[in-house]
Amino acid sequence: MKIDKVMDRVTHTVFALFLVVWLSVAGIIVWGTWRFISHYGFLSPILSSRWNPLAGQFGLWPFILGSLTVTVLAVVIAFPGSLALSVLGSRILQGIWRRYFVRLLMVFVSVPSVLYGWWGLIVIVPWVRRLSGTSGYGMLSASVVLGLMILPTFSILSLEAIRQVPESYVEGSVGLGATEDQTLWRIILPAARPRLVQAALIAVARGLGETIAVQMVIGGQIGGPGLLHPAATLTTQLLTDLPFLPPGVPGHDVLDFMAFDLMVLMTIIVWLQMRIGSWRYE
Amino acid sequence: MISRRQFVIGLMTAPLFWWIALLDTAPSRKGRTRRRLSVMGATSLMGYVKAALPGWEQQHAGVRVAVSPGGSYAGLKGLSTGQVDLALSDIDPPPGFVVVPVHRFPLGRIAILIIVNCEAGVKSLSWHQVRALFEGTITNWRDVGGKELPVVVVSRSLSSGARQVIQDGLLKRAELSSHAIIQLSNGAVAKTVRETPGAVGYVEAVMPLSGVLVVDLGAHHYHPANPVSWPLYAEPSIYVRRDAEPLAPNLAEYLARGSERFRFGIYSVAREGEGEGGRRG
Amino acid sequence: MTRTSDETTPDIEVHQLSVWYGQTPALRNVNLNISAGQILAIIGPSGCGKSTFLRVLNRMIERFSDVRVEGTVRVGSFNVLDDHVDVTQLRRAVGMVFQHPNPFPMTIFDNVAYGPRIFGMRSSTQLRKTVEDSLKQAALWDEVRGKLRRGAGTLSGGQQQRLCIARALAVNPRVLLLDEPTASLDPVSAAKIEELIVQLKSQYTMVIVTHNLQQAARVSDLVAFFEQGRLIEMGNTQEMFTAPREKRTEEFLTGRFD
Repeated sequence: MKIDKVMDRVTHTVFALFLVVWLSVAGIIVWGTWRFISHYGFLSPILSSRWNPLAGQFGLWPFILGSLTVTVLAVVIAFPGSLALSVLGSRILQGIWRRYFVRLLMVFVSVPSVLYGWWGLIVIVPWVRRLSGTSGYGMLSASVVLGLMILPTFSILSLEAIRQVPESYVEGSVGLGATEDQTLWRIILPAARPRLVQAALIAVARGLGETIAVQMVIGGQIGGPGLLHPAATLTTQLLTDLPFLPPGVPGHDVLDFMAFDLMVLMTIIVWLQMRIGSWRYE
Repeated sequence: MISRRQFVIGLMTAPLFWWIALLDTAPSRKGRTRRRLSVMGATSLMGYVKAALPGWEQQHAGVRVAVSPGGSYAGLKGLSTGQVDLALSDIDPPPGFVVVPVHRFPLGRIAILIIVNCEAGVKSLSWHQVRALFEGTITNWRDVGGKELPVVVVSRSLSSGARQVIQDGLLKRAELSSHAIIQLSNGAVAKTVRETPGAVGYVEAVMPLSGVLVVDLGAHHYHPANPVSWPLYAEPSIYVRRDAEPLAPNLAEYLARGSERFRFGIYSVAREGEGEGGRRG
Repeated sequence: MTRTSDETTPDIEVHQLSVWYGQTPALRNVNLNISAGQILAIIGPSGCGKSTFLRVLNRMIERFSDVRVEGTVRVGSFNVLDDHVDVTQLRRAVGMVFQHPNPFPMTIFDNVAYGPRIFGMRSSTQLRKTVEDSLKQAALWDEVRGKLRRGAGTLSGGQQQRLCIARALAVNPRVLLLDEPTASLDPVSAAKIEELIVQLKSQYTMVIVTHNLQQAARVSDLVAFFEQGRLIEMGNTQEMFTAPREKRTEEFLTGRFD
């Protein structure tokens, strides 16, 4: 009653405080972004390709393009394997095999990204070098490393998506005389599709945010068009130029702007994911 | 039984209590003498500073020195804002970068070496050839007397002091090849050059190098034992605010005179260097 | 599949059927025969093996892990428990309707056309005809005509169950297995399903598992009473409800069952 009401107040106040702290973190980025935009404009840095912070040129287009290309390519690379692994784990393996398979995937999820980057340096970069005759550092290597990095996460999410398909659909299909394979292609995968797309979007979000594994193999320089040339992404450029543009330096605001762009991209993905999550069959 | 509200309040306010607790244990800023010093700056100098510190700390019992890498720019900026007591920098601060009056304690020089992958097949390069390689105008080693192998340029990021030396001393107005691979540390550059056929890069000579070829630059040959005549070098310094309390300049002076510098590739010269590519200090 | 309506040999013949889940017996030595076009209602307390029996008839039982089945079961020309039997064709001939309506998440049309498509029907005119016939047979056509492109989820529970019956009928089965088909429906919808079952009588041999004794009395020709995995008694519906031979059956039917 009375105590309850007071407690309720306190709870709400505490939550409000928490929200304020959280918003102020976002606010710092937005504030920096605002200072940057009021100086250099919004669209022109996004669309420009000249990056020379010393000379006050802040073209972000190559980084945005790099982020999107690497991430999308990584998801494309990871998709078939993830789907295959999730089908294996949800519809083929039984009993103890299935349990250990899922545990193994969990182990791979928990491998830190530096290890994936390191492994990319040892295996992927020389492999791309031998295949293409270039240095081996570039978007292709970064996509492969990132693809392998998101593969376990993607697989587990896809596996969950397939498991969420009600068993009654499967029974209905099998009861009509359909084989397990026909049931998989015609019932299970279509029914799991919205969740599979959600899984892909979570993988995209993971890929967009990844920094160190990508930095180790991408080359870190706007090298020109093509997947085999060195490139950079928003996150890797943030990493390389962070020490160069500490707070207080005129160019520092561009880092906020880059973080802001990343936030916008992420928000779009989360929004898409929520839209797709509400897909219902009518 | 904890109610759900108590649970939420408890967990959400926990960071606040931690913060208050930390405030309580931290020594007050306006105390008697400062008992803590912080050092921040160029990563290439960290090895030396960490090795030299224990000696100074023995002389000054009770003073604790926190060392954090972060790069020259971050160190200098931290100095201006008062977050850092000593800034280690292997670059000259750009005009207007440091807004407070500072003392500079030169440490000496660090040689910047041109390293190439062993398969490139060259042992020495002329000044012009190196410039053209980094610029990206020479793209195959056969053009400089090496094997038939494409050139891969490896560089540090803009924040690196070594990159500044290469830019100012070697490339001058020209720009680094846009196909260069950027690596974040000396070690990463060395590793990339070692493993990439046809790679060329530059490193600060603060560590032993293996598996790569240090090329002669024109008539200059790099002797680790006698690096004085080597023409490419950074001139790292320690910066301390003029208004700092005496402990900070004391530490800076100690570091600037430390005898262990040579072990970490830092050497001093009697006269001001006349090297072709060296920056004027 | 040609339907051979042979009056002398039973359509479903079960001999010494026993089923174990791991070490637990679920059915013990069940013997029964059903003639073509008859409806058998299976009644009995929960866990007596009713659903297990049903699932043996189209071998859906083997979807459970660690199951052992013994005995012989013949449905039409299928020797059901034979290792070499074509399970796909068996399930085509033995349709199944489940306790909870389980239409697929696709359109009404695609739901009914699913089975025929599985069995290779491609021509759209043929498909359309099959879908229309099946929906008419399932007494759903009048309610969904012109709405075939809508999702099956838009239908009411009773309509969904009739859709599932139409889906089963679309592959032209010989036998229909109904596992408590009205248990999750409201009384009005349940009545419609019952009516439909009676209509379909004589065209299909049906086995219906039900908890609703009145329903069993209303729709079936034969009643089988199972208890603890044993077939206690089976007979003509009217006889069973008026004069059961076994004491256990009488107790169950009169509600004096513990």
